[in-house]
Amino acid sequence: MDRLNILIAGIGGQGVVTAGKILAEAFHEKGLTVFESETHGLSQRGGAVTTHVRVGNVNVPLIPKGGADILIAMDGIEALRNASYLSTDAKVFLNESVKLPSLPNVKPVSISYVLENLRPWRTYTLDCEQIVRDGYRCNTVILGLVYEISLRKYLDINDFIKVLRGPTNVKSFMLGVQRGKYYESLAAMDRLV
Amino acid sequence: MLVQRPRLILGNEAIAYGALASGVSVAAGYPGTPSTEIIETLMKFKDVYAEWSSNEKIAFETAYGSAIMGARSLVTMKHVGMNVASDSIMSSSYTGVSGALVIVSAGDPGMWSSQSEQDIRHYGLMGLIPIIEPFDPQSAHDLTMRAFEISSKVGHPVILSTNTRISHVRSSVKIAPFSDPIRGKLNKNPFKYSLVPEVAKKDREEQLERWNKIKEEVSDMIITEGSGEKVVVGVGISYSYVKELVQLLNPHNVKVIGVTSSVPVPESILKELEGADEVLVIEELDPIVENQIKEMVVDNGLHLKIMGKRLTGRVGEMDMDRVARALSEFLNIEVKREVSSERSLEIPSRPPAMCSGCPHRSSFFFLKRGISLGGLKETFYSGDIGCYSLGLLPPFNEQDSLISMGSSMGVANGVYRATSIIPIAIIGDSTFFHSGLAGVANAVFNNLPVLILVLDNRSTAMTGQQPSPSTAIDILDAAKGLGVKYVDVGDPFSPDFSKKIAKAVDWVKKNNGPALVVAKRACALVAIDKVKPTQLAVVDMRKCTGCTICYDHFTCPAILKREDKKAFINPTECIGCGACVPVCPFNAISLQGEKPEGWDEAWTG
Ligand code: SF4
Ligand code: SF4
Repeated sequence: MDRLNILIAGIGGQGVVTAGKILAEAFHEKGLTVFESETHGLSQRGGAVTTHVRVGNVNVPLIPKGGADILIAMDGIEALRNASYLSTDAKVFLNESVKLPSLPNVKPVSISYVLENLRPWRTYTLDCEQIVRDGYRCNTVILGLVYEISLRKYLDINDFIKVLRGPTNVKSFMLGVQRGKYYESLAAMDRLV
Repeated sequence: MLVQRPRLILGNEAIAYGALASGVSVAAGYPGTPSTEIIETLMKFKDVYAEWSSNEKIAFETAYGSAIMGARSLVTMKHVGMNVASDSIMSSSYTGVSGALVIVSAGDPGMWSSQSEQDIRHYGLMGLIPIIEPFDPQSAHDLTMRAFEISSKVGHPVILSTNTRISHVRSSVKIAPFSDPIRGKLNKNPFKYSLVPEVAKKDREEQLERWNKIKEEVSDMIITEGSGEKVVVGVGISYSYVKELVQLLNPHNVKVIGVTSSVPVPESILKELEGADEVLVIEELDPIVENQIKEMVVDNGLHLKIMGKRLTGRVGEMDMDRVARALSEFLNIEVKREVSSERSLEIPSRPPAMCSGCPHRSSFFFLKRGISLGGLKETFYSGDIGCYSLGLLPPFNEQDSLISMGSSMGVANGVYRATSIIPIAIIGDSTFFHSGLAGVANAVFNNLPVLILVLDNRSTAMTGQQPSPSTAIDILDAAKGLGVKYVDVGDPFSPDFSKKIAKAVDWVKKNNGPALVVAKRACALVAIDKVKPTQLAVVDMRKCTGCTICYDHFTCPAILKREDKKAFINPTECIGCGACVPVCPFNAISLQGEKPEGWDEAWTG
């Protein structure tokens, strides 16, 4: 690998920074150079947040526009806000939900509008609300999915297990991996027909 | 040198570990993004004294006082904190120190959470204090040690200038082993440290001598790669951008120079410029290095074209695109970028919001009511710096100005003198003790008719709930002590709060002097850290009329709007604080579940 750029986007409080930290630690475990850059907003919660994770032959912490290989979006609106970072063959991992900002009279945005605008990129979706209701941690489930689809060539599953801290996270991660396998089997079927 | 296995740490932690490796024994700071984690890290080490001071000036003076006793000390602040501390910092450059004194100033180009982006390197030029600039977390660690070394060798303060993209970046850092803390001992030398004119005149001469020594000390603080007639100089983080782009573009005939001492720029750079015909200096914010190089070139009669800000621009953070554009013009090459089609999408902005359960939301809600109850037809909300700055946003619109820590009362004074409209000065508890006290004194002394509202959430919440002096000093006592005649305290979650505001407003109108009301309730994040909430607010759909008050005028993030306009409370976001209950005029909102033990204490603590 020369360089890998992963952008994580969401809303303060959704575990964006933690997800970035876990990814960075997994790559660090493997002995790869990694930069992880947090953005802290004006307040603790509720604002748009991104974390940039860059791996490999890199010197700077921020992903250039058009340079992200992977976008992990915890919210539909935030996925669109960061679409200009995506490279042409980027993959998107999306929590299929839209949370409107806590401001008066916001015009609603629908998830179909989001998906429509993400059409140029291969998009894998999941539903965090369901995941959380089932007792899993959403950000770790997404990381499992990303691992299975995009990171297996760089990392062993153990690089993640080591840094996940705690059985709930590991369980969640594995659920994401299962999800990824399912997506892959669908893709394999597509190729057959 | 012995180094441990690299660890994945934040730039700020790397700076703290660099200080520990240098024998730091006293550290002080005022929290401010992006500097905060340095003191937080040092607080974990028991043999180092580390404190949150009430403002940056006090923090600086604490570190300085230790350093003139021979200790190795550190002070941290964000870039604008330098303005608060600058009076003492300027004097410290005259006296010098006997131990070591490193000032860390963390800048915020792009203003992610600041009122300005201000280039603090001007303080270095103005005060003859060297500025060391790291370019990534590893260099932040190594250069912190270098800063301590220079400071103790020359006996002079040294500034380490970091920024968001170094302080808040996590990467692998090789950490040097820690040294025993170097403390001071009583050492009196008034003819050096008491800056009466006679002493200051002598100190000025010595300061200039030290400055010459510093020039020698930093002479090796440049890194050179490649060769060619075109030279690109990268300063601090910009050096990293240049390095990555040069790797990507692989242009020939280009020399790259990284500069880690931006004030003074090492004179040895002149030798590296021999044979060059064009130089591009890339640095964030102001042309500090660019201008110093121009000066050297002119002084030495060289014929060199120096470019910089003209190609890179002067606003905001440096980034790959900006550096790429500047490089492509300078090197006359085309930089291909794989930018995906940037279509204009309709997406709402998402500014940070006050948390679920935040007491400030209720304070702003009931303040507005109280003011109209009190019969003020129009007013000016003179704001201040903290989480409550978000009161600027709709639906509240209750921060008409906010310029610096503690500015609310001074600005209110000016507004009143110009318009005779009674203003409301809004200030947080931590800001009150940081630099609000002088404003209170002025309001009393000059008879300012103002309602001072202190939003006391028991902590410095915006930067991560550092303790605030309000937990040790009663704000009402402080105000009374300063001569405020009308003081009151209330709970912003209670609708009675608007009556308290109305009464105070009325008093101000009648007595033409300052009144002070404290809205006292803990930061929601602090409260839920102490007690796990078990109650939830629910909306009775039969009673809800869809009046929009709770989601459009109160805007707790947990309250959502249904398609039929009725309100719905998201159980995963609601913390069960109950603030929304009195807000609904139709009594449609109630709390369900049992009140957890210690809940009330957690909110008032
Ligand atoms: S304030 Fe009460 S009536 Fe109005 S929308 Fe909210 S819950 Fe319904
Ligand atoms: S109780 Fe009401 S104000 Fe408090 S968090 Fe829940 S919805 Fe928001």
